[in-house]
Amino acid sequence: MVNLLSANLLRLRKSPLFWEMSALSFAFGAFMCITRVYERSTYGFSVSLDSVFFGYAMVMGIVMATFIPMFFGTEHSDGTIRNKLAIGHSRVAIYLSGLIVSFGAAVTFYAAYLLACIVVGIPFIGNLDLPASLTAAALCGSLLMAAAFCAIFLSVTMNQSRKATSVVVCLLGTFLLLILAVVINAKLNAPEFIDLYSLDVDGVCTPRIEPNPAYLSGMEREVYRFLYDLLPTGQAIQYSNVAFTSPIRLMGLGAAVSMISAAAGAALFQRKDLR
Amino acid sequence: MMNLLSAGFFRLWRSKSFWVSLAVMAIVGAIEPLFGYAAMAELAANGSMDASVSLDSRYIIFPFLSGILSSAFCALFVGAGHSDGGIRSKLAAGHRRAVVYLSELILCVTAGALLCLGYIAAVLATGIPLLGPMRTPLLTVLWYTLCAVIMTTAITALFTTISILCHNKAVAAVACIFLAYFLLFLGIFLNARLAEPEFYPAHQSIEDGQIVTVEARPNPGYIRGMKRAVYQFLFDLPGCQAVQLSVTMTTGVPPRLPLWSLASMTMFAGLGVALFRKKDLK
Repeated sequence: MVNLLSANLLRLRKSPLFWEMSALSFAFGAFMCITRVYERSTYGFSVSLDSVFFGYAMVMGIVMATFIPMFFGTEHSDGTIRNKLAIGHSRVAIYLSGLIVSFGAAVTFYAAYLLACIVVGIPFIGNLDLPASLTAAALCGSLLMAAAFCAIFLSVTMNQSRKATSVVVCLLGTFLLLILAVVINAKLNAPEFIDLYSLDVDGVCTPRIEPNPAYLSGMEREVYRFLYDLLPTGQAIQYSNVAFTSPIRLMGLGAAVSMISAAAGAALFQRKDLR
Repeated sequence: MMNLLSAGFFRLWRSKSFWVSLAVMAIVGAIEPLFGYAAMAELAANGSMDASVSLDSRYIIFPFLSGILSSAFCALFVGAGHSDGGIRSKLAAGHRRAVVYLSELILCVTAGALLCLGYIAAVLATGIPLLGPMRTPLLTVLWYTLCAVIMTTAITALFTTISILCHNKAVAAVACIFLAYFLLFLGIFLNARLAEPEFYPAHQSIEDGQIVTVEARPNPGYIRGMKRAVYQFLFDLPGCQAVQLSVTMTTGVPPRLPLWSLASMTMFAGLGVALFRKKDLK
């Protein structure tokens, strides 16, 4: 296991894709901060580092959906997995080392983004205004969300011999889940009541309130809420806006998705015909 | 050319990526009216005054989907020619590079158009019984459909060019899918910016139970001059055009859009032939 990890980390260090994505993550963080500074100077908006600090959560899925199939898909195409098995490593150890390294890559990309926020954001925008407990919850939660993305994409990549197919499945799947999360968010945010006004013949305006037929209530609302919290893309929206009501529930669901995806992926990989 | 096309269509017929893409289009096309029907039933049950959902709103979606799915399809289908050595074999058999490129282009463009037809057939088959006929006049719908299919073929030509020039199938897939989504989101952004009014009209609002009149005022965010021309040019390009098509479906799609699509397709084809001639196929 240690040898596998060491080999994977060496390959990661030598991978141009890894360094390019780290650089892009840093550039993205700097761009987000500069955009806020531009908005403040052009439109006079009051801006805060809070609005960009966890913004990477929103793109984490797309980044990992590109990186994991490109990096680990090569193991299939180059026959590296067969070599590892031939020298006596177990399939579970190969899978777990992949999972640990992919999570390490996700943390590095996130750290590159945060570094840009600190280096560029703090001098030009100012410090974080969020309470320390909320910052810690958002940081831990978004790392668990990253682990969930890694587990899902690795299970696809390790069980699909064709690298290009893994890329397509992961990327299209991520965008689909992102759109689904946006739709669920819009439904959950529908107001319970609508403000209406009626004007009588004397020109007197009377406000009245009517229930919104599109408002989700009861069991239906609970189901939508659960799906929104369960989907890593739903969590991404919540963490990027630092708008979550129950961090423990989100973290628990993130950990559950990670473990279930990793276990399912490893079980399928055990039975996979590697040709 | 005929031999290449004949072999290519046989390959297309047996292509998993084509059938999966077509199945996704047909499934989404069949499900969309079901969602519309469920929304209609829910609104009626909640006592909404206007509980009707039109088939038109479900029909207009296909240019968005066809652009995204054709990006994945082109990368996988054309990329298979690279990885299997099919392209080299065709050249070794004496076919010219321009002819090989054009045959791939015709195959992908045909597949793109078939993806659109797959959605249209499914949405009409389930939508007409559930939601009733479309409210937009038939000729306007046919014109929209023609423009949307032409746009899909134009964007498919772009993806074919990228896929045939990129030797690595996975890299081509990433590039095509990112480009498809980038163009779509760019279209949404440009639509929002271009649709901003030049002046905010005078309006009345209620504050503390009193009607307050607010005078008309210019919109500082309105885009004008050269910047507007550049935005409009980008908005007319295939990909971004999908948003413009959906916005103008009921009023009639401007004729310049299919002309832009055809011009773009010709440009992508010309560029593709020129670059593919110089490409090192290893």
